[in-house]
Amino acid sequence: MIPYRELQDIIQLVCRSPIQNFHYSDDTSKILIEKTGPTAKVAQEDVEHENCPSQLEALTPERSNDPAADDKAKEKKNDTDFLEIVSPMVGTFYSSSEQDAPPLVNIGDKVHPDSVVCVLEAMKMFSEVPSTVSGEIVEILVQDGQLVEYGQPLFRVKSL
Amino acid sequence: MSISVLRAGLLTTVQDKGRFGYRKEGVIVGGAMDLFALRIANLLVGNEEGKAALEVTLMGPSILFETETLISICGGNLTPSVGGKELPLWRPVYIQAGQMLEFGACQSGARAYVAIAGGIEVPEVMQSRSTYLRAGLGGLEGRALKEGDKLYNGTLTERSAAYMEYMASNAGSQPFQAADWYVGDRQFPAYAKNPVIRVLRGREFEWFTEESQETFFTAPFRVTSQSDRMGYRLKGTKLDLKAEKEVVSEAVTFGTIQVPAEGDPIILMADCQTVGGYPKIAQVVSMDLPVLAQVKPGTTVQFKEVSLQEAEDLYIWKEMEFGKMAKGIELFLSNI
Amino acid sequence: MPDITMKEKWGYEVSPLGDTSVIVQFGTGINEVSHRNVLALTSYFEEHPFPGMIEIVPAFTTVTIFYDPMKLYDPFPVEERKRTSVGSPYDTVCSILERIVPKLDRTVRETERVIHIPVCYGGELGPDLDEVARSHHMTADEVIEIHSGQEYLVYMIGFAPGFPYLGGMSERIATPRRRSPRMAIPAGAVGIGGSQTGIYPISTPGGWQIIGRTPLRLFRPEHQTPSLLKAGDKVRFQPIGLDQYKEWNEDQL
Repeated sequence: MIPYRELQDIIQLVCRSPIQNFHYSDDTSKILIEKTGPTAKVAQEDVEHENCPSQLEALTPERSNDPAADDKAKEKKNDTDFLEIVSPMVGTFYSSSEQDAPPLVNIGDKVHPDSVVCVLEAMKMFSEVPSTVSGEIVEILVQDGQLVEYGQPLFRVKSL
Repeated sequence: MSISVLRAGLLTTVQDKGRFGYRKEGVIVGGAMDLFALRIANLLVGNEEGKAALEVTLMGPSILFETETLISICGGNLTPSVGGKELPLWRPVYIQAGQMLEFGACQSGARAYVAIAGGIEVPEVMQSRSTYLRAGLGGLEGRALKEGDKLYNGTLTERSAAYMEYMASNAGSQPFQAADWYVGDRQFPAYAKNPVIRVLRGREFEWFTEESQETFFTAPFRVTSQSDRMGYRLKGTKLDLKAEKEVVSEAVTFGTIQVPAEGDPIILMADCQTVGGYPKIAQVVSMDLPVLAQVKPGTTVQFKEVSLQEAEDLYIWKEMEFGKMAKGIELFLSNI
Repeated sequence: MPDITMKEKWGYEVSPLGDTSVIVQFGTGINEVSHRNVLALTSYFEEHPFPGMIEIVPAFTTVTIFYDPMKLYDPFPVEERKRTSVGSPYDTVCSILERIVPKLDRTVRETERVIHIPVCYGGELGPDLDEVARSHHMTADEVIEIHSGQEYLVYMIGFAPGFPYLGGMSERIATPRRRSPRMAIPAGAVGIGGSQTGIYPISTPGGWQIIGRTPLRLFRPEHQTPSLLKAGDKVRFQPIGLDQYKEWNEDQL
C-alpha cells in the first residue's frame, strides 16, 4: 500500500505537471490519474492568478511538443527586457546539484536554453531544471530548501 | 545484448545482494560491498534491486557495449566516460551500440557499481550470482573479470524496455543520453573520505582494558593496504585485553570488528568468514556498511557508539527512506 | 555492554550480534550438552523458520539467527519506545525464543558416520608441527600420535566452506593461535587453534598452527551438499607419508 502522504505527493506532482495521463503500479497498488479539461483549466487559472508569465515555459524542452512555448517567451521579451525561469513542477528547490557543490548559476551568469540552473527534489528524486531562455541571471527568487509550486518564478533573467 | 571486457581494471567482479542460507555450510554471504549503491543502480535501470551488476574497484575496466544498453553507475566516482565525455552517476544512462565505457581517476569512494538493464546473466550458484573469489564460485567462472571476457544481460522488464526506447529516441547521434533526474547525495549514506562509523558494543567489549575501550571510541584508525573484500585491517593504538582469553568460535558477520592478539582491529567485510574466534570489540550498524565499503586504504576511520535501539531505528528508517526512493525511481521511469 | 538476558531456567543467554542478528548461547564450554542444545535449536528452526528469519549458524555453544528487521519490527511499540521509535526486532526474536527454547527436543541423535581423513604431518606440509611439539616439550611424533589417536566430533562447519570445527582434541596438544594470522593457508591444511583442531578446505587467511595436510577435498561445490562433513559426524585422522600424500594427489588428477 502506498501511504496516504505519498499518494498526496503523487497526485500533486501529476496535477501540477503537464502530464495528462499517469499510470503506476507495483505489487500492492495501482494508480491511474487522468486529467480532464476542467481540471487542467483550474491549474491554468491558478498559474495565471499567480501572475506567471507563461505556464508553457514550464514544460521541459525535451518533453515539450508545443512550439508555442518559445513564441510566448519571445512575446514576453517584447514587453520588457526581463524574462523569468519558472518551475516545471512541484518540488524542493536546490541551487546546487550536490550538497557541497557550488550553485549551478550565480547572479551575473549567462545562461542559454539548455543550461541547468537548479535542481528540484520531488519523490526523493532530483530533477535538473533547464533555463529554457537565454540571458543573464539578475535575480534568484527562491531560497535553497524552499518548496516551489508548478509555474512559480525561480530566476529573473535579463535578455541580452 | 552483450558487453565485452577490453581491459579488466584492478578488480571487477559480478556481484548481487549475496548468497544466503549456506552460512551453516561455511559458505560466505559475499555480494556487493556497497549494497546501497548496488540496489539503487539496479532500480535506476528498471531492474529488481538485487540483480547482478559489476563491482568496479579503484581502477575501472574498459567495457565495450556491442548493442544499445541502459545502464546506471552508482557508488564511488571513478570518473566513468563514454566517447570521451564524462558520464554522470546515480541516474539512468542510455548507451549507443558500439560505445566504450572507460574509467579514469578515483575521485571519491573506492567502488562503483555498473548495473545493466536486465541484470548480468551468469549461472546462479547456490541461489546467487555473486563472485566468491576465494572458493572460485559464482559470478563469471568464480573469478574477477579479465580481458576478452564477454557478458550478457537478462530479459528486460517492461519498465526497462520502455525507458530505454524513450531514451534512445532522445539520444540522436550522441554516444550516450543521460536522464535529467538522479538520486542526489542528500539521500546518500554518510559517504566521507575519513568517516565516523557508528557501532554497537561487541560481545567481548568488556574483555578489553578500560584504556582500550576508551581508545576505540576516541582514536582514529588507519585502513591499511592489507584490506580487501574480506576485511579491512586497521592500524592505530593497539587494543589490549584485560587478560589473554580465547573466544569459542561463533558466527561473525559483515561489520563485525574483531581484535586478534596483536591488538590491531579487523573490520570484517562482505566476503568475511561465517564464524570467527577473535574477541569482538564492536559491530558496525548496517546503515554505515556502505560508507565503509567506499573507504580507501590509507584513509582513517573513527568509531562512535550507538545503542541497539538507535541502530534498529536507523535501520528501519533507512529502509523506509529507501522504499520511498524506490517508488520515486519507478515514478520517474514511468513518467515518459 | 550487550543486553544479555539471563534465562537461568533453560540455561541460555541472548545478545545482539548487530542490528540484524542475535546470538543464543547455551553454556560457555565446548561440551556435548551445549552441542545437543545447539543441534536441537538448529533443527527446530530448520523445520519451523519464523517469518523474517533469513538463516541460522550453529556453533560450539551458540546459535546465531540472522533476520530481516523490516519483517520483525512492531509499528505499534510499547510506551517507552513510542515517542521516537518502533518496536525492536531484537525484542521480537527474543520473545520467539522464549516460547521455543523450553519446548526443544534435546534427545541425543546417534551419529552413524565415521570419516577417515588421511594426513601427512610435519615437514613443508605442517610447518608449525615442531613449534607445537616444542611448546609442549614433546617430540613431533608424540603430537602426531595424540592428534591421530582419537575420534573427533564435528561440532559445526564454518570459517571457510566445508571447514569442520572438531571437538575432542586432547588438551595435551592445545596450542594458542598464532599472534598474527597468515595471509594464505593452503587447501587441505590441518591445524590447531587453542583447544580446537580443523582442516582448511580452501586457501584462506587464518591464525591456526598448521601441523599437516590432507589430500582429501572437504569442499566440493559441484556436489549437492558441498561440505564433505556435517555437524554430528565423527572424524578420525590417519597419518600418511609424503609419498602417499603425493600419490593421492596424482590419483585425483
